[in-house]
Amino acid sequence: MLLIPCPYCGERAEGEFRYGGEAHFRRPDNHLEATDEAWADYLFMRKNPKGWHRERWMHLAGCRRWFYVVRHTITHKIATAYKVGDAHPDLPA
Amino acid sequence: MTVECAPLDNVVRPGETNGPSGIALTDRRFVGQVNLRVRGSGLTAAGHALGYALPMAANTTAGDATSRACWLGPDEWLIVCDDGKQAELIQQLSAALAIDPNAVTDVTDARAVLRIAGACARPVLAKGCTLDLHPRVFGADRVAQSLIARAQVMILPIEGGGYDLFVARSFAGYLWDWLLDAGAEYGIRVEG
Amino acid sequence: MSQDFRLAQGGRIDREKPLRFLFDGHAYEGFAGDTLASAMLANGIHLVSRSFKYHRPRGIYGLGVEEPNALVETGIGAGIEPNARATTVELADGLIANSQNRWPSLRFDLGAVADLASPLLSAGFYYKTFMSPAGGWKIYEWLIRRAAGVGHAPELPDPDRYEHSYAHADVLVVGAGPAGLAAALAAGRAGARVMLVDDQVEPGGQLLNTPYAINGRPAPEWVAEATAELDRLPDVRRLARTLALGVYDHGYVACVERAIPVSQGRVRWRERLWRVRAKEIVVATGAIERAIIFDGNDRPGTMLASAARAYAVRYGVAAGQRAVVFANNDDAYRTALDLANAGVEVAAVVDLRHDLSGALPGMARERGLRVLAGHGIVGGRGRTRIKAVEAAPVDDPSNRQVIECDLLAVSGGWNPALHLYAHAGGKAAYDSGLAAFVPGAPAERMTIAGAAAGRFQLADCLADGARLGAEAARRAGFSAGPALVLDAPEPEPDSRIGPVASPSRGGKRFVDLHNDVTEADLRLAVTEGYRSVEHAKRYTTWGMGPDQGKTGNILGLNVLSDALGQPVPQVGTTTFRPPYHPVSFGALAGRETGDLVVPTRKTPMDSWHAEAGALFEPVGQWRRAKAYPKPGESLHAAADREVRAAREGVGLFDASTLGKIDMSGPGAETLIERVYCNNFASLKPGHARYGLMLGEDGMVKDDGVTARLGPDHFHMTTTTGGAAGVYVWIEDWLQTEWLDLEVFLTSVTEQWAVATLSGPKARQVLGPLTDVDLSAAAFPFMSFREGRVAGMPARIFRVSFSGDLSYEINVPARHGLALWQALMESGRPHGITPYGTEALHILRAEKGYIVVGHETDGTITPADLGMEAMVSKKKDFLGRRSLVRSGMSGPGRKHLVGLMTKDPARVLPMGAQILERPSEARPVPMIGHVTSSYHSPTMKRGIAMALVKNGRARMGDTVYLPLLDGPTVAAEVVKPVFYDPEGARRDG
Ligand SMILES: [Zn+2]
Repeated sequence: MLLIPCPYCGERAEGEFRYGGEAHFRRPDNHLEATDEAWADYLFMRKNPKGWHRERWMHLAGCRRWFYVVRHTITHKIATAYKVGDAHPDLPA
Repeated sequence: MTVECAPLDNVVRPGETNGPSGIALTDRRFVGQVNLRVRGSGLTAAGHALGYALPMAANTTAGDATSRACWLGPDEWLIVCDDGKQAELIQQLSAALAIDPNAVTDVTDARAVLRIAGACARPVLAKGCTLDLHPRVFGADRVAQSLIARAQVMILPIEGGGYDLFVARSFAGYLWDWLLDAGAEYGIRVEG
Repeated sequence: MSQDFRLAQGGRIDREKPLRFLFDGHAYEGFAGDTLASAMLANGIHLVSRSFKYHRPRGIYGLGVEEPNALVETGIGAGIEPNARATTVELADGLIANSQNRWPSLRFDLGAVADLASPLLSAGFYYKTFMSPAGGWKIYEWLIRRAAGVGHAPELPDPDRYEHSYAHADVLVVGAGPAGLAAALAAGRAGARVMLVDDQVEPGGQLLNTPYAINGRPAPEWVAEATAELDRLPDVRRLARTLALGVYDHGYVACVERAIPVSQGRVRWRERLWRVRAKEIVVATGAIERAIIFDGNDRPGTMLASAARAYAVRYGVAAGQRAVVFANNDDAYRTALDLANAGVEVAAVVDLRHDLSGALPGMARERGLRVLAGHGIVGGRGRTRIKAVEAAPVDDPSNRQVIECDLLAVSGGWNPALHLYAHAGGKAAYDSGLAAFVPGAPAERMTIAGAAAGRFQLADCLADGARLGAEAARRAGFSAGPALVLDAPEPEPDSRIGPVASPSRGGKRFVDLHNDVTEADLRLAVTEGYRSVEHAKRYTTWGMGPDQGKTGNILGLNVLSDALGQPVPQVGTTTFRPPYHPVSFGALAGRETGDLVVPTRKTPMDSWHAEAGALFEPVGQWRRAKAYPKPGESLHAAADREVRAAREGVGLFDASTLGKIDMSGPGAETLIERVYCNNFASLKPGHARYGLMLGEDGMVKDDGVTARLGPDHFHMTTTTGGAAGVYVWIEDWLQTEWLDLEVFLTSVTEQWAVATLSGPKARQVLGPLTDVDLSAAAFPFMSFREGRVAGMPARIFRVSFSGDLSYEINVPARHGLALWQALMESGRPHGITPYGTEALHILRAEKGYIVVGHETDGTITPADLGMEAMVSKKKDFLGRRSLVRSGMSGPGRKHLVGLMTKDPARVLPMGAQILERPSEARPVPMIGHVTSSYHSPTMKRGIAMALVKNGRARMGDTVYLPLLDGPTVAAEVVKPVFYDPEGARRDG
């Protein structure tokens, strides 16, 4: 069971959170005019990297905030967590 | 380690009733609860209405003789007071926050409050709660939202050892049964 | 039988406390402090089991969790525990144990014919034999299932209680041997919160049977002192009988604690799973001795040298009267000396090495022990107990000499117990000097001390522990406490290790005793092309038994190394995964059994439903009244009666489980407009509207009625099951995308109890109770009023999910039951009838109202449901862009339709597949399925809703539904509204 560092509450057990998948994929600007390809890309395509991954979590059983985590998908190491609106930290080497 | 709480010995004897107990479980029936959501300039206004500043540090509380504000999120607090006082509190807050975006919601009936008191309360909660409730980490001014077994709770430490557990009303029966079962090892008894 | 093999003195057992136990129906006696294994050995019992595949007689082999043979069944009836290691079962008065995997008895086991047939049972036997004929597997499987397996699962429910506890430690120390005790002391003295777990009853590990001193005093005295100091430290928790099973992510360690066995009564809890979150982990798990490969290396009476030593010194038990020690390393001489000092005759030490110049062989010779250098064991005598061994020079294996013995103590060197390190992601490195794997690069939050790191000298173990314990505490934020000064001189062993195999003269040479895997099996696997260690492992099952090859892993790797012509590190090692040792299902389940498996959420009116004899159904975690059958009444009859009451008179329904979200703030209207696909901007305060919510993919996500309480204030309802998901989803948009919107959500699902009064007489029931003007003109459909009902503050919504006049009355939850009772009382003259979810579904299906999750499944658009007219063309909303993607409209999509069976009495099963023609060629083209289906008491016939390809173009067509094990039923496609299509009844 992972320890997720909520930027508000600190480290809490994974069971308190809801996972939200990849972070920072952009809803196309002027989305109503977006091409089918661009829209499908936004809806369905995710990176699913082997390695460092910026992802979304919500502290459901805690402060109910959505935030971002940089997690390694193989080792589950968590490099950092940050709030919505914070600068995106660099991925570890 | 220093013994803070001794379990009953690990043998169930025929006809045994719960023995000497360091732990009591009480249904507090109704506790006045107001959910407050406010940010920016409204924070000061809310503080004026309450008579004390809202606690801004995560998972802490502040209060006076009338009410206690528990941090729930960066713009959310649960104001706890005696049952019957919540209407007045809502009125004061709403009046003070007239120009600031806010939500002041009576949630008194949404949550039951179960009190688990006594030196053995901590090891009982530790059976289903991943939080570290060691007094060094979780002192008297703290509050936390978490899970106990499969119920979401807000845990508020009480004087003299123990906790008030705020739990969604529909989960209260489950949590009650769970606490009685988990507390059996310590001879938990029901009070009130 | 008396304890003939109990030594006259010594051991840490309590000779004043005799304990009786039964093994295979015979009564024996042991002492407090014994394990079942030590007590059996004290009674001369070696033969304890039959092997897994060949049913060969097997004896007690080890001392603890490494035991591959002595798997027994303990307890009786519901208390049966199969596959208990006799070496880890603490003896208790009245303990009952039985051998397994034998019939009719341990001594005469018919399954042993498998041993005679063993040439047929080589590696890959199952794969090769059961490939053909096709279909033969069914018979083979039956035979194999009878023959395979070890113990039998108990057939009665487990009466015992199992606990779970979370714990937090700055420093978790695993193992209370010299390194672990030193580490715990160092960390504890620094003030860290320490948890010290050890699987033994007594702390000390090897210190309990070492002849050497610490600080000039016997080691056990130091153990007692260290333990007492630990117990005085306020933040140190010391757990005996507690085995660390696995290390998981971020310092999460699972340990299982066994209760102290009791002889009378029942334990309050039997096992406790500790779920420890540790900032730092010090692994001091020691090492496990390994065997040597030689001909017939599985005779009962053969055991690990360290086990024979510990039985003598710790338990005061002579595992035999005349021992041969078989060695490839110096440590074996400690065993020989300890056995001799304890009073066991040591007939010989047979050492595969030629050069025995170290101090320990010298001490053995001085003690007068016979040492055969450069010799191996090439055979033996005895079937159910060893009688003699054949020793021969390694260079001349045929030159045999017979040495009589009843104990063969085998020492093939030590393997650091690296399992926890491997769980944490550590990659072990091969140390050819030790012929063992030792820790490689550090694993996260973990350090490894003493023998677990391949450092076997006592002084090194103590020093490692003290240093790593202090360092772990420092990393956890504590500065070092008083230093530990520990002096422990002992003879320096010659670190050279001999070969791991003795010369062969034919005969079975086991590398995995539990799974009966021999050296020849592994060589055959290589010959047949299984060159990867992981493939050879799976092909032969080497290391795949419940002991996970704790004693045979290195042996097998050496065999593969030889067969492949590659050095051991290149052959690789297999991966250790949790658990380190098998764990009971009970310990994993903990409190989550019976009623506590999942929460049962109850509404404020639940007690009334229960007293009324309601039939409940689970809806998510909620339990909801499905119907209120009268005595002798079936569910269907009850639902029919309830529907008729709600249509013709008045019914009362508990709708408290609906999700409710309070939305407040200047951005509330914009938010509502974005999350619903239909218009809400025009909704006036005091009014309510049905809203349809789509995902970004344009598919229907949830629905519900939302009321406007004020200009910036809404009360949204969601489906019961969708409540949490919708809340999280809207918060997601608010918090991450629409930061400009000033609006606050508060979940009020639990704040309000909801009773729905429905039927033409609803107004007559509610009227006398309320100050709200209920006339249709004053309180029109889709509006809400605040007022009092039976003296309680209430919000009344005039909405309808049945098509008839309805009031949804919301009161603060504490009043829910009183409201219900007041409505029942007021309704009595009108024949008010409580109705459950079954009637609710029939009522709404008669009207063609959808239920999200029945009529939708995440692939259904508003147009599919015939609701496209609702969808706003003017505003933007979530999912809008997706509605114009290709494939989201046009031919080929499924449409919601009604079905009327040609036979009105027929009620279709939900999920039934729909065909165009009564019979079709395979693969049968299916054009849709039934989403909801009921007997409608109002229409007096079966009605169904269905999703059918191009359904709206098929109105009036006949479709066909082949039923499982039944006829093919014909039905007519109709509009999905069966009752009051004009909506004339909603005003009562
Ligand atoms: Zn949080």
